[in-house]
Amino acid sequence: MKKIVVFLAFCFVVISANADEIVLQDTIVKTVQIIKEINRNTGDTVIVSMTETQELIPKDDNESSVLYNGSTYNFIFSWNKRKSLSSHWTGFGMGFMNYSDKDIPFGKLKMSSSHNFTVNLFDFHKQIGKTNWLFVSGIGTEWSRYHFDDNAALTQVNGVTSFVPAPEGVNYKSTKLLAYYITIPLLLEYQVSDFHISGGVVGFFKYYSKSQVKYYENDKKQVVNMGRDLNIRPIDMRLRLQVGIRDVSVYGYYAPFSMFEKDKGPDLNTYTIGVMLGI
Amino acid sequence: MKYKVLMLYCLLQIVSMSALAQDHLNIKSIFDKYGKQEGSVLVQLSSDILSQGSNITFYKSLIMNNDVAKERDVLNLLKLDIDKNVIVSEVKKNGKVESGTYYVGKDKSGKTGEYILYKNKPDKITIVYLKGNFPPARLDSELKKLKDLFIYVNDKRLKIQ
Repeated sequence: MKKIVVFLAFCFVVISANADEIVLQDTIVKTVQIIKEINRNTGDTVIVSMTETQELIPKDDNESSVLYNGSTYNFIFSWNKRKSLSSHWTGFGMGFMNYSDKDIPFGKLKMSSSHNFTVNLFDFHKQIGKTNWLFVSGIGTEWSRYHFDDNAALTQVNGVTSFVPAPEGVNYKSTKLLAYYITIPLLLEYQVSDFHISGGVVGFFKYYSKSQVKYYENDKKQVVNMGRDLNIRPIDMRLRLQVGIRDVSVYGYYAPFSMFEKDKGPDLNTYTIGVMLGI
Repeated sequence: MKYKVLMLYCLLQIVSMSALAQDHLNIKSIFDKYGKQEGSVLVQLSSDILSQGSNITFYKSLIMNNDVAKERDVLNLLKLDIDKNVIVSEVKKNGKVESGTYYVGKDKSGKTGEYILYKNKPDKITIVYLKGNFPPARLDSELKKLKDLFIYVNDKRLKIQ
């Protein structure tokens, strides 16, 4: 048993010796000064001893330093703080819509009252490295209301949607098309100072559409729904460009594809221009 | 009974002192040995600088002129330190380590990880010892953050390795 204890004690001593640099302690240096003085009255030499204590605090080994060829150099430092960019997709917008109605019989658009309203509440963006560019996506909603000038209504006849003139004697007070969408963008945005510009494609997913007319018959207001589906593409795509300063921007949409399915409706490529207020 | 108590005490001491003894990394002596030599650049950064943009809490790098004796010295000590620890990455050419990143465990606080980085180029040897509160998987991203740290000596930027 004694041998084991001696062995363990030996191990303790050896390991303790190896465990250097564990704790830095303040060093206290005691200095003794001996001063000789001569007494002027007696002429004798008087030895006066004085003891001083001085506390030396060792240099912190963790201090920042730069050494070139063994010499310490002063230095300055700064962190390049990464500017965190946020996108300009989210916000509220309102725009005017239009399309080329030259080849569309009875399909003249009343631009002044054809609006789209946008509410984009969610965005996902990813800054590209440390640049001023970012990828933007998100989710939004779009409510489009097309009001038409001609006395005709969008109606589906034999599976094909077209502008059908009002029956004789009926004068439409209002004829309109409503199309509501969920939108998902895929944009590239560039920002510098307060200015931003973004562009890309936006997917439009239709969740509601309706053609509706209003007219008076015997002084009684009539509201008639002319159809809901109307062969409007359930999934559509539009090009988007947005330019702005701070949270105010101007945006534009262009639809490269017809709003209606091929050969099932008028060839109608819409474009929109509007103003957006960011949130 | 006395022997048992004494034995237990000694055992406890051995365990605790062994743990503390591991804190000492052999590679640290390289900084002292070569850090003040002609041609060496020794940079030490502590948390007062690093905490503003990184999770690295301590950083010490040494760039020195390459020669066979230094290389052998460094590799011998490095081998002792990394023998039982994690090699995060290592590049060898003709059997010789050209660069390596090593996780050498936690420091004495038990919270901070310690890392050694080694790079051997024909003219320079670079050794970096750093500590931080992050796992080895995040070492790369923490080192990338250091690219945003600008250190100027005599109006010249000192690149962090």
